[in-house]
Amino acid sequence: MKSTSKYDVIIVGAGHAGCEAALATSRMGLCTLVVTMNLDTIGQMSCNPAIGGVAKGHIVKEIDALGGEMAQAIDASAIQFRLLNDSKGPAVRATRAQADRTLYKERMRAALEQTENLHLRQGTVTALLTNNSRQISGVRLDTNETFEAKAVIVTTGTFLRGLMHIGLNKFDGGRAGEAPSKDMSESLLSLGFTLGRLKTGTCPRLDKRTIDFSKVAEQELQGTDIIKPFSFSSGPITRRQIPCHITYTNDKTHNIIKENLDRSPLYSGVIEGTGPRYCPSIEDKVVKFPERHRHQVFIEPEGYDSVEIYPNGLSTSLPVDVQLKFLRTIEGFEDVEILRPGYAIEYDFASPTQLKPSLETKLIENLYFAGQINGTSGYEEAGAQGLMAGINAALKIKGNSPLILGRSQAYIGVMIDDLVTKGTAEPYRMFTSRAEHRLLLREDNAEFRLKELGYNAGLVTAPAYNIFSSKKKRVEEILSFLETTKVTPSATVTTALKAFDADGPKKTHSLKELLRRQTMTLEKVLSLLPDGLPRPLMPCPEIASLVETETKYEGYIKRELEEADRIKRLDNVKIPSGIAYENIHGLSTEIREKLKRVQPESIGQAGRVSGVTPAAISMIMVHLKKTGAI
Amino acid sequence: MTSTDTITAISTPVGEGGIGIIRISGPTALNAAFSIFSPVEKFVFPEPRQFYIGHFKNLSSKIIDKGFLVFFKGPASYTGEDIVELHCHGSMLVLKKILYEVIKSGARLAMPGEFTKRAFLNGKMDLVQAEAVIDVIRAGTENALSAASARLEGRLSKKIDSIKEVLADTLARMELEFDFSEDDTEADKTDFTEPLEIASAGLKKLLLTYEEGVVLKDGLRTLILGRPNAGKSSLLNVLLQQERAIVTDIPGTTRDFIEEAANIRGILIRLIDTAGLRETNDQIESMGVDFAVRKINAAGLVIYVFDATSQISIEEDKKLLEMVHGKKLLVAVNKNDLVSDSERAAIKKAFNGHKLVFISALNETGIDNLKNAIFEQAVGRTFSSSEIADTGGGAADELLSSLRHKEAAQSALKSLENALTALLQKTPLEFIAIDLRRALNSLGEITGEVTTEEILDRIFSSFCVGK
Repeated sequence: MKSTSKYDVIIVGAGHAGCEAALATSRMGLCTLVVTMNLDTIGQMSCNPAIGGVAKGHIVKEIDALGGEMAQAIDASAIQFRLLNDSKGPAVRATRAQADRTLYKERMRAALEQTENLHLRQGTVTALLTNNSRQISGVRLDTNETFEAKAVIVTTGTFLRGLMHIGLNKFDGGRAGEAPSKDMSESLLSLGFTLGRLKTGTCPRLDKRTIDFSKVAEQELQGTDIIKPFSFSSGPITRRQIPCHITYTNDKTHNIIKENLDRSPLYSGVIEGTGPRYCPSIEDKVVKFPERHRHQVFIEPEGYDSVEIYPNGLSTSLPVDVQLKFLRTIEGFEDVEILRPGYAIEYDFASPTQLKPSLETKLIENLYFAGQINGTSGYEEAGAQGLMAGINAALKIKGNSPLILGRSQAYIGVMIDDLVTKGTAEPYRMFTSRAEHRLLLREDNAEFRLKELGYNAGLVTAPAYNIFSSKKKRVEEILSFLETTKVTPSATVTTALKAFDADGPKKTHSLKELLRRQTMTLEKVLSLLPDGLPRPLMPCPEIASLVETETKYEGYIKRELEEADRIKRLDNVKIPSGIAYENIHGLSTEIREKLKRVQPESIGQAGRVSGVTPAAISMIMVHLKKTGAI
Repeated sequence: MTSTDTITAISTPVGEGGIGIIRISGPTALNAAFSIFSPVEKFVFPEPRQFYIGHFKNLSSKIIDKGFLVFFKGPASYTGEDIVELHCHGSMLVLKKILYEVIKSGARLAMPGEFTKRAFLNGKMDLVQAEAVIDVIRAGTENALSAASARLEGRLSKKIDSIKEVLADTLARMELEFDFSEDDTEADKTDFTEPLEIASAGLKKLLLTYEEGVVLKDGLRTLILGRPNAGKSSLLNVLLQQERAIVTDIPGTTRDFIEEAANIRGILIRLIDTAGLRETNDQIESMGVDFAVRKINAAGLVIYVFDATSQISIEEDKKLLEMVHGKKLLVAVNKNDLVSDSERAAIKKAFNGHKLVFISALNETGIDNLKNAIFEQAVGRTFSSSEIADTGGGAADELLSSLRHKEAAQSALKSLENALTALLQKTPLEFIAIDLRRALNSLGEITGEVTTEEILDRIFSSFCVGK
């Protein structure tokens, strides 16, 4: 082990963003130090014990394709997989898994420990050190030690001046049972960063042994024929799957909540930070939707052996006595005991418009932010930012240009573009609706979109890349076989097609055209070929499904690609940094201020800044032309 | 940076001019041009910067006009791309017809300032030109429309917004299905067809108003024809005086004839003045068939003035009427006060099949009826007296009046029809959402886009999400 206090990269924090960042920089060959306040909480899931879901599952697959860790960690620790939206279309179909919280954490810590160039250190960072407030030079710890680094990635989660609320009691804390970080906020402010305040919350954890499972419904498990692992390099899921259960709140529950709103920090005005609308507390649901007589509660196990239950849907910051009282009105929870109370937490975040698309800060060179400090929410969002910050910090140290993913290339690209262009007023979560061309951003083609980029960056190993290359070749071969192989109408073919609920062809068709018919699959289409004719071997289900999607929806996909190209062209017209918006004739003051704040790097990004009009874009183009920039 | 699509637009100013130019720019500019232009002398490939004479024909080979084609090979062109200019006669009608054909053959209607945008993206523009263009683009956004057409646009926006509202709500429900599928949101998950049908019916109805909208916005060019002494000038004066006529002073319109405009029942009627012809004894013959045909072609409506006291030579009038065959036509039977009931009946019989209005231009009787009839002919529906109070722009609810808006509404309708078909075929919901987004984007070109944030706002305000 190296025994100096000089590193290439220092990561502050070891949550989902910190872990991915550290693994990325160290795997890219840079000497990396992770500083965490508690080595026992590396990779901790602070909220619900699950990874993936719609749009989030997509992000996990993208992380995997780029060479990140999250997908493999959840594959190794999941206790239940689900495939969501199976019937609603290939792009909204998504994977989600319940995790064994402890297994996940252990798996992630092991990954960190087993990686070369990666050093761990427990401690609290109290200050970021710079050269003349322009360039990062290292960090100082509460022990007064200093560590030097070429780049620093800050992934502090909810710890920055964390203030927790349970009822009208408030106390400093970064997470249940953990201290907040106060000096770090001061350090950021003194460097000139603007900080804002956000709020989030979590459910009480319940004692499994005090729940009457005979009174609640069991959620059916999905079969292993449907469920698939997250990672493209994981084998099939064989581990035992354990189910969740479902119960509901009722009028009695709602009445208790309503009667005690005066003791809620949310409704008595104690909480100032903005919370997420998509993840409201139970008191929010009761107040905002008074017409509803019940709300669904998922009873989620936290692991194979854990007695802790996560009652998903019951996030609350009401006083503990009220939490217990309303819980006990719920079917199955009549005698329930709380293991850990629910709480709300307010924390500082740095508006992400202070970042470049590489996640490097505009103020301090080689300083990067990732995760909740950027106003996001969710393990997947955090992990993806950590990965990108890590990749870009490493690329910059190596003298390469940053890896910026486009909006039609990855959900990660959509997320980072949204963050650095528009900022966020509430904790930002990814939704499929945020992607304008989501048909291009499917789980099943994440590797096809990103693997090569991960390989070029040095994160995807050569063996993994070779496996992908042969898979890609296979898909291309089958697609071209389907296109070039024709079937002429004959009684045999018609009979065979009838059996598949499809009409017989009236003229010669390619197999590709036949596959487009609603009831047809790749297997059925290949079976139409007369015996003895050469044909590709039936591929694995994963490749077959990819081929089917690409074929059946080719028309839609092509149009989406064309539209995405139009966006990409504008993204390729670069705006030089330091452009003087004051000198651009005709821009309104409001638009000028917005552009100065965001400092868009391309005409495309400038057009997405809220309030910037097409006419303003034209004026910027004229200016760029005048000054010879384009 | 080169563009992949081909754009087109009428490049000469609105109004009557001697010539009009349609410009096409982009990789398929030549193809688009040759789908309607057939040269008189055959040539294999046009030399750049040469004039080629030929005919503009529509898809069924009907000749629209005669004119020139000029080819500018990119990058030595205004935009830096291949450009074709089609020079035809300056009638708005002819220009629009040719433009339609060019669009049919694959070009897209250009956005305001788009030719210039391409020009500076391709490095073809110097500073002076570019700044001048910016002014044009700005003027386009703070448009200088007349009060009447502004009101027209206001009503249209309201209607489009109400359609967008329905679509955005439906899209929000679909997105809810995707992003919160595990949540128990109590949302109606079944009926996506009905709102789409309502929206597409709304668009269809709107598209039917295009003709009326164009008339209300651009006015209707009206030609007063008739034999000498039938009372054409008196009628013209009555129409102009009563409505406090504004004599338009549009540059370039004086080459062959000038126009005078009257506000009739809220519609701008652009009367083609026959001043230069009044002096001659036999005006129709003296004006020459060519000239007459040109004037008739330029008119959207013909008012034929018939002298009720000259029934003896009625066959001559009928012959003249043949010249305006296919045009919107009103026969104004003048000097009504000088004939008997039986004579009137005979006239009615003689002009059977034509719309007749009995007037006396001198006594100013029957003029209200004539105005109603003009309105009816112009917009294709009856004038109601409740519209009298509203002198600014007709009382129709909402009208489409520009080609760009019409195109946007058409493409939105097409997306909705795709969505409805897809729903019927049980295509996965995701693809229906794609069509819906496209429809919203098309309508967004008329009244501003619906952002993702707005869709999310709708979800969060209407449904209880967050399991």
